[in-house]
Formats: sequence, structure tokens, C-alpha cells
Amino acid sequence: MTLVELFGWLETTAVAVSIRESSYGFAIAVGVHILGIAASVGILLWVDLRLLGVALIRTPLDEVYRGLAPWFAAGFATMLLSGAALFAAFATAAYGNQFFRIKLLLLLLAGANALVFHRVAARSADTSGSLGPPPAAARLAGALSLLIWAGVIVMGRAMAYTMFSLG
Amino acid sequence: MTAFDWLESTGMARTVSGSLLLTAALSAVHLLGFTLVSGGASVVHLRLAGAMLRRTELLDVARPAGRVVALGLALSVMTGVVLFAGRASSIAANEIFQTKMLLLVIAVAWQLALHRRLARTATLSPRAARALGFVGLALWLGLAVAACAFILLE
Repeated sequence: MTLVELFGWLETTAVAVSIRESSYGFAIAVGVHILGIAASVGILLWVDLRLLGVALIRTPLDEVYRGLAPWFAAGFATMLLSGAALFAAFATAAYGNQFFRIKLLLLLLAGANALVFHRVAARSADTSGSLGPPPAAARLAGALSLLIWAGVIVMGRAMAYTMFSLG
Repeated sequence: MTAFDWLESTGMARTVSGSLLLTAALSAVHLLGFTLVSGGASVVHLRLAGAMLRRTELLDVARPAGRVVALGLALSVMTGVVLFAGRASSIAANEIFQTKMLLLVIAVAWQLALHRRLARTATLSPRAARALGFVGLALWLGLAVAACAFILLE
């Protein structure tokens, strides 16, 4: 099965059809996607601000991370599921959209940053104690995460404004 | 001519409504502002509700959260006003938009009152804190839902 065939098949699935053809399907999917962004990026932002050393600095990084993780994880799950459903509905058009491709790359970068830097930074920030300015690696991880997620949001909007003008 | 018609006829409004790029850019900043507002409001109210960061001082959460909400509101309101200007009369007549604006005013008044109260004294009984947390979460979530509904159903 080629990619094009796969996308064509995705567009015929029940979820995809109901997003495209029922009167509120699209509105609900996009609404849930945006609420997922608010919960995930809006709450993860506090881990990044802590890494940067501009908020919650009197709480150990580890405690901030563990306290917020269930909330932003639920947000990410919501965002990914609604995003996957939206992709299925418009797979071919999304695949051909340059902003969608940039958005996917940024999502991969965000994931890599979270895996590598957050883990490394969490360790080094913990050994240096919770007070005082965080180490450079922690600040870099926080700044990168903020920038990448802002980029994801901007690319998502750019996609919405360019994808449907052709079809 | 109503005030909304006049607003639509301004040069700024016509530039925005005539440019897809500008509209998309404003909309992107509007959504970034929305994310900041949501992040600030949710963290302080979840802390009040006792759902996260219980060992962190309330003010250590509330102070930066207030700043994040203020920054997000500044971005969203400024870009929102310009986006509104482009289609002022039809948007103003939209009931979902009117609900969104009403909830925005209530939520901002709530947030200001909360920060005033916490600046005076940050000690709250656990029950009062929980009640404030739940009411605030409900208000901001209501605004977020109305905001999503407005973009899509207008």
C-alpha cells in the first residue's frame, strides 16, 4: 500500500467521514484539539518556566514535573487523538501542506527535546539543588521547549488557513 | 452608520480583512495568547483546588500565574480587537461571540479579585481555596469552550 492509498483509505474511515460530513463533527474535533493545546502546552509551560528559573524556583524541579505531568499528559493525549482524527479526515491535503510538514518536524523536535534535555536537565538541576539559577542545560531545554511549542501552534494555524483554500 | 460599520471601514480593518497572511498571523498570536491565559489560569486554580503543587506556597504559584495570564490577555486582546475590526458588524451580532465577551469580562474580573485578595493575605481555609479553585476553573473553561465554539460555528 502506498502512502497515497493509505491516506485515501484513512479518509474513508468512519471517524474521518463524520468529521467531514456531519454538521458539527469538524467544529467539535478542532475545538477539542484547541482545548488539548491549552491543557498540554499551557501546563507544560510551567515546567519550562521552572527550567528557565523564572517561576516556581522554590519548588524542586522534580516535584514541579511530577505534579504537572498527569495534567499535561492528559492534554497531550487529547491533542494527539483529536489531531489524528483531523488528519484522517483530510489526510491527502494535510500531507501535501508545507506547514503540516514543518509542524510534524517541530513535534519530533519537541519530543526529542523532552526526552534528551528534560531528562539530562532534571538530573543536573537536582544535583545542583533547587535554589539559585538553574544550570545552562536546564535553561536551554526550557527555552527550546517554549520556542518549539510556539512554533507548533503557529504552524497549526498556518495550516488551517492554507489547507482548505484548494479543496 | 453604526460604530461597527465605521470600525470596518477603517484602513486597519480593510488591510486585515484583505490579507489572508495577516489574518493568519494575527490568529496565530491570538492562539498563543489563549494558550498563555489557559496555562496561567489553570495552574493557579488547580493549585487552589488542591489538585497540584500542594507543597508549593500559594503565592509562589499565583504571582507568576498572574503575570502569565496578563501577558496572554495582552496578546489575545490586541490581536482580537484587530481581527474583530475586519468583520465588526457580523461578529458583534453573533450570539456565541457575545457569550464569549461576557465570559471574558467575568473571568478577568474574577482573576483581578482573586489576585487582590491573595495580595492582602494568602491564607485561605482549605475549603475556601477549593471552592475558589473550582469556580475559577469552571469560568475559564467556559470561556475557552465559547472561544472554540465561536471560531468554528460563526
